[in-house]
Amino acid sequence: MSTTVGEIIESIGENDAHLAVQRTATAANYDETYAYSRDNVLSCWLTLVLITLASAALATVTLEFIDKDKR
Amino acid sequence: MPETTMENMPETTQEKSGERHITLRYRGRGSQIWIYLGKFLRMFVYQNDWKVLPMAAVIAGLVAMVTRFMFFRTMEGTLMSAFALTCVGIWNGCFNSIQVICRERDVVKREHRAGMHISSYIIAHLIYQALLCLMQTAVTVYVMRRVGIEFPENGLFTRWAVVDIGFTVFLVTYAADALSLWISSLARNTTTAMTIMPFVLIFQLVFSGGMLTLPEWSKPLTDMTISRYGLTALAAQADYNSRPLVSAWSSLISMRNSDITATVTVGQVLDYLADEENPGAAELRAVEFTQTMTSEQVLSLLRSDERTANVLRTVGDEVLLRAIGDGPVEIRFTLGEVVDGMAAKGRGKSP
Repeated sequence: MSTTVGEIIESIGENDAHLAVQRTATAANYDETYAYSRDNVLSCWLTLVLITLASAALATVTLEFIDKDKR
Repeated sequence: MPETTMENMPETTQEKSGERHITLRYRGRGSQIWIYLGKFLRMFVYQNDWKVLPMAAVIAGLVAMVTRFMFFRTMEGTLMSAFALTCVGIWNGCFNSIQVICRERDVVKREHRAGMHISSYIIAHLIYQALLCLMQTAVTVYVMRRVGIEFPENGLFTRWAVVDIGFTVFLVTYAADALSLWISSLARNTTTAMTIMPFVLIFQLVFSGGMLTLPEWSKPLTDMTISRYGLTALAAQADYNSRPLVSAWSSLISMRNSDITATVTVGQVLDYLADEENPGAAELRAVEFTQTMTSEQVLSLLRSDERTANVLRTVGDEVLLRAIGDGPVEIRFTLGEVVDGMAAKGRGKSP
């Protein structure tokens, strides 16, 4: 059997093929990581706040040793 | 050079009977925060720290020009734009504070020896940087809207998605800002800080987990990046999963003239059609055929098969012809019935 991609698309109908490919590809690329939910976003926000606080704490601890700088 | 503040350590001099008594009165942590905050705000005005705002506008404008036709429109465009917006936040945050401590390290050292509380100094920085990040976020979102990015109407937390997304950009910027503040406190001078910064940026961008497929061992590293959480929050708020994926169709169209050569056996076609679980096959199986035949054609069809011919011989043609009648006979069958019949015949059972 020999054909071209274009012929297959035409045999299905361009609009139908477009919809089918888009629907299938979109469903196949569904990613739970990016789920549209409050919990998902809230957990990211919380982690960003924790990173901020941890960085600030580390900066404070680091600067507390500033007197021990060697020239 | 930044100004040296000794305000946190005012001294009072008293003279009693010719002796000079010097009393040092240190301000508390809370007072020191406000003193340093005042100093940083003066630096914002007089030492050109305000320049980060037009810089943020330019960066946001450039990114918005590239992403305005794909952000919130397509799946892949939304992910790329969310990544770009995360990069904008990290970039702004890093540049805000990467030099602020190391450039006045000597001053900090001297003032610390004179009674400055490091925690007050850092808290003052955090308050000042929060204000700066907030202004940068406002500028970024404003410029993006002006350039033509259409934000969704409703957000997950507020009635305006732009506010929710703006808050995420603020948190990303602020987290990058705080991280750079730590790097700035580690570095002895601005050259060292500026040498470390590209590595931090590359680390954040590569290990965000959104744009590059990363190996399994890198997952713990990804979990430590600001970009990962920024990208996830922005993509989620942009409703990534509901956007259409357009690149698959574009790729298919670009291959329109490509030849496909394949060898398909009848058995493979039948196997495919026999799979009722497959939605594509189920659709094909439901295709209905209608065949109109005369009674004579029906008889000849039945005679052509050995098993039905035996039945005919037993019953007799006249009996069957009376049952069928004289008019044309309309036979309806689906492709699925034909396939099942052929499969049953193949297994040696009567269809």
